Amino acid sequence: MSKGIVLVIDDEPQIQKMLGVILTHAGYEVSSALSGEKGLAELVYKKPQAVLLDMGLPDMEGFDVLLRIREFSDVAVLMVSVRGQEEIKVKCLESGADDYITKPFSASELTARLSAVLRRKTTPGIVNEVFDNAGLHIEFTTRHVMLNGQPLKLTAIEYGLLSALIKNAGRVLTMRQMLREVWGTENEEKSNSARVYLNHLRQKIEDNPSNPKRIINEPGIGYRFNLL
Amino acid sequence: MERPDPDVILARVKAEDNHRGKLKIFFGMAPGVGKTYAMLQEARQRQNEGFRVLVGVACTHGRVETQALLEGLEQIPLKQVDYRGIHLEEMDIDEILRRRPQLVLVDELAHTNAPGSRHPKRYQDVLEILSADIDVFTTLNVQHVDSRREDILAVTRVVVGETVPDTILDEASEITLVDLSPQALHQRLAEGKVYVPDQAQAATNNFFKTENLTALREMALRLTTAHVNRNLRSLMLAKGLSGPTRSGERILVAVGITPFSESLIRMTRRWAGMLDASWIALHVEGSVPLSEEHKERLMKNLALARQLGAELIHQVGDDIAQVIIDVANKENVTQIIVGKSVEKNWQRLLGIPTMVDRLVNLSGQIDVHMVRMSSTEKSFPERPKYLFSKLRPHEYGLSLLMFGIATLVNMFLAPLTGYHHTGLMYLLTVVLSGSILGRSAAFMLAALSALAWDFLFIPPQYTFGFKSSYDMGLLGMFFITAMMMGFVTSKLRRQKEVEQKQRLRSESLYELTRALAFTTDIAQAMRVATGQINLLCHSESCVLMVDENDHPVFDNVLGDTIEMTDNQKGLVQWVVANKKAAGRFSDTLPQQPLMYLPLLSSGQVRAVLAIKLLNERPLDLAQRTLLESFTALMTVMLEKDQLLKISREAKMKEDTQNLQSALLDNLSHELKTPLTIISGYLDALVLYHQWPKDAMDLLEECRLACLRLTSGVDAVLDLTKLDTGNLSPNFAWCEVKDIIAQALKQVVTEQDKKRIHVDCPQGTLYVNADFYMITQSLKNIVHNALVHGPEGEEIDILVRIMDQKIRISVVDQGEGIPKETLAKIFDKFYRGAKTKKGGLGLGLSIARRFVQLNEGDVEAENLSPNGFMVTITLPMAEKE
Repeated sequence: MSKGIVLVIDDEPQIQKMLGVILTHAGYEVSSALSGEKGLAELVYKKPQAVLLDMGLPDMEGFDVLLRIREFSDVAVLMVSVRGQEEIKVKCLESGADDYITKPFSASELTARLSAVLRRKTTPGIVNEVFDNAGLHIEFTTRHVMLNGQPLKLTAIEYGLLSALIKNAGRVLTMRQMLREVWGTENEEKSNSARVYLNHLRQKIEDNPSNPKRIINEPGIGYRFNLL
Repeated sequence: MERPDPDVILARVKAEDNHRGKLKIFFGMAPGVGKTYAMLQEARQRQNEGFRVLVGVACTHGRVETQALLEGLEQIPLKQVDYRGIHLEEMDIDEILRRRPQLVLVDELAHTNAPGSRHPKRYQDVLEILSADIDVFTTLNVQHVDSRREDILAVTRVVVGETVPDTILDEASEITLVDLSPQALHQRLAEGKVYVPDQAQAATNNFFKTENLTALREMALRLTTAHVNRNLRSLMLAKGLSGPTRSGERILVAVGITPFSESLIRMTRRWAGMLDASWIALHVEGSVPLSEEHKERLMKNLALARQLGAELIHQVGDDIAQVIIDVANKENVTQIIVGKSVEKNWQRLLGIPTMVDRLVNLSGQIDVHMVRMSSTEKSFPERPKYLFSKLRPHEYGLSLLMFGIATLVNMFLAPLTGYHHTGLMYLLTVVLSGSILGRSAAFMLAALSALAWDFLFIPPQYTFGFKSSYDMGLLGMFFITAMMMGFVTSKLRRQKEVEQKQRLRSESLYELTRALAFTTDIAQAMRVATGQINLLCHSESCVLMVDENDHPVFDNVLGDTIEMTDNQKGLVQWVVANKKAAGRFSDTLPQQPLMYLPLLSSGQVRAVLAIKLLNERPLDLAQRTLLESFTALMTVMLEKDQLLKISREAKMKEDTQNLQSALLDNLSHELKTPLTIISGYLDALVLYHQWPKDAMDLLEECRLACLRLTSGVDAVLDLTKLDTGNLSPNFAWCEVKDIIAQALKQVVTEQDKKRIHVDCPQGTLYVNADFYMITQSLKNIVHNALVHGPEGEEIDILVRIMDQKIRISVVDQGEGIPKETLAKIFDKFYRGAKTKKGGLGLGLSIARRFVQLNEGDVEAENLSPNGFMVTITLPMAEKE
């Protein structure tokens, strides 16, 4: 049973082929387009569940393709880019892209992010009352948090940050998005405080705060909550 | 509390920490009071305190006690100057500037230098020394102060030749009065302790009379007090205390050609000083031209006014009173100073208002002060009453010719029309001559015509008699009319000439402005400018551009080619260094034939304008004003050119950056894509297929190789970006433990991971830096330690806080690096002699550059007994 259609928009045929192999093995149906314009057309015809969008397309800027997609579709979009160019990544994430992946990437990383993004997309708005993962247990209705069986006291802001991250589990959140969710502001100057709070949170929920496994920092972009 | 005047504060601040030396004047009432002695005493004290003191020139006049004080002070030898066979000695200013002492002694400030010296007067030398940030001690007698000249003359009957302008007293930061009672001075005279030049023996006997000395003493005291007052006032203003300030006053004095103007100017200067006011010297140019002598006197008066600190204004007009009032109103003048004549004026007798009366009537809110002067002088800046100027031969001829023609015509007319009408013909001739040839010709013709008319035409003919009294009256009327018409038409002609000159000047200014506004080529603009200057001043001129190192470029001269000797080239360099005019009509080497004017913009000399006048006539005020406007325009042009150049360079830099950025992006893409493909397939092979163990090992090796290649590509791309300036840090707060964790994540093998121990203080530590860069740096350093440390031995990562800085140290147990090569390890592509495994040698270089971009640094040191430590130091982020 196919997990859904993934549209790969990339101008390199070799990459198309390689991604095709990985995605097929992971259980997806693959559709490909070699340019931005062709990608938009394929999007309309094939109606995929997710789009892998290369940022280095020759005919259009990745950002512009994203905007065009978002004009008429809510499909999950995963940006594929090289290291660096953080500003563009942040810009895309805040304009509707769901996540990004950096070349060269490992197959498992790709499939993990893809499924995280799809999960979020297919179950929108339904906030499970309970979150349970590898010893971390949260009841959203009562705001009750337990770690490895022990109750955990969190400040209001720490809780806000944690729930924002968990709601987007597996997906990267930019600093701005986090600030907006928790503080209601987009004031960049608050980002330093946010980092401090995040560190406090790490101290509380990570087994080894010096080697965090759940709350991962993506430098220049934001943070990601990993499901263990 | 009075608002502190920002200009005063600024001036004070500038004076205090500006690079300008301080001037201390040892002031006295007469020679022999002991100024030089006092100066030397204080200089010795300064030397004892450790100052570097040099004696520029000291006049001891053979006095033993003074001579003794010179012991221990280093004297700069005087420059020997030969002038027309006479041997003179002058202070060597170049040597002083070369030696750069902290303090130099310059005796007798009022001294005039020998011709050929850099400056005509010693006080100008002192000004130059002060601007080189060297303090100066000097001596001065009250009789040498310019504004006191007349008073000295009145009191002592001694004409003082050498004076210094009052501005130098304002320049002084300290004036010390060396005071002595007249009796004490007489005592010293008797003892032969006072220097008196032999020739002036008789005069000095007069000079040293007690009443003279008393008066001089009072003058000296007054001047010193005034200086203290001024200092106090500016200090009070700077501190915001209300003091005796009367700023806002502006004084105007009209300058003319009479010698009395000079007294008026000096007096105005004193007033301005007392009232703390600015003052204007106004010259009104009438339609009547001035003789050479008058012009020279006028220029002297104006130069004096300028030297004493006046703003010069030049206007054209015949109604002097009206022009003065117009200027006064425009310039917000509060007081006008004019001379008042005592003698009975024929105008007053007739009840006709004089110009002074008119001035008072028109003055409105402005005070008019009338200053009494001696009876030999006339009241107002005077229009020279030239009734007859000399006619040139051809003008004579033309007048006579006209007269002849008129007479001939009349001969024909007379029988037809009667003799009355012939008078009209003559009248016509007089009018014509007035408008063509001028007043004198008109008058001459009027007289001639009257005579001729009487003789030739009025009955009885060929006699000078009259038959009827009617005719006599007619002749009288004719003569008066002729004279007046001649007068009026010649005046009209003069006015037209003056207006013509004015218009030409405006036009030339307009031409220059237009040309400069539309030219973008600076060379062309300068050529146009020099062309206009040549037209204006009857000269040859050229512009020498100055390059970035403040060297004038002599090869590429814009404008006319003027030959310059090495001395003249040296003078051009002086102008560039001192930012002041030199050569003709300036204070520096005025006997040089050329004028050198600096063109300044933003405080730098960008070019020097050299002008060679083709005739000996000095420039008049109108020409100089226009020349100043020209140089201002040229400066603007230079400024514009400079700004254009800067903006062009900035644009080019930006374009280059963009191009490099695009290329790097492309490069990155091209290298990463195949890597992605390879690693992707490797992943797929491992994940989705089953292989026997040895095959899996091979795949694992491939994977590792891929990672290594990726790492290398990243390093090279980073380095390229660093080199081309395309990388700027994204500052954000980073937790140190985060950085360490991320860096260690990239440690590849498990056994390597086990070697590393982290020792970090409790709690969270933040640095404000680019996370990626610091992580990469740490990763590189750790990798270096893993590779170069002994196999299997421990690697320690220590975090310490010191002086608001966070230090992350990576320690391995290896033998370290020999001292000579220790600094080299941060060089690009450097690989140690003992390095066995591979590597590009870029790791540490990138690490240091990354950290330095984040306002930190990386250092390496050997530890004893063994071990090697590399430390990243970063400023700690301030907690809110």
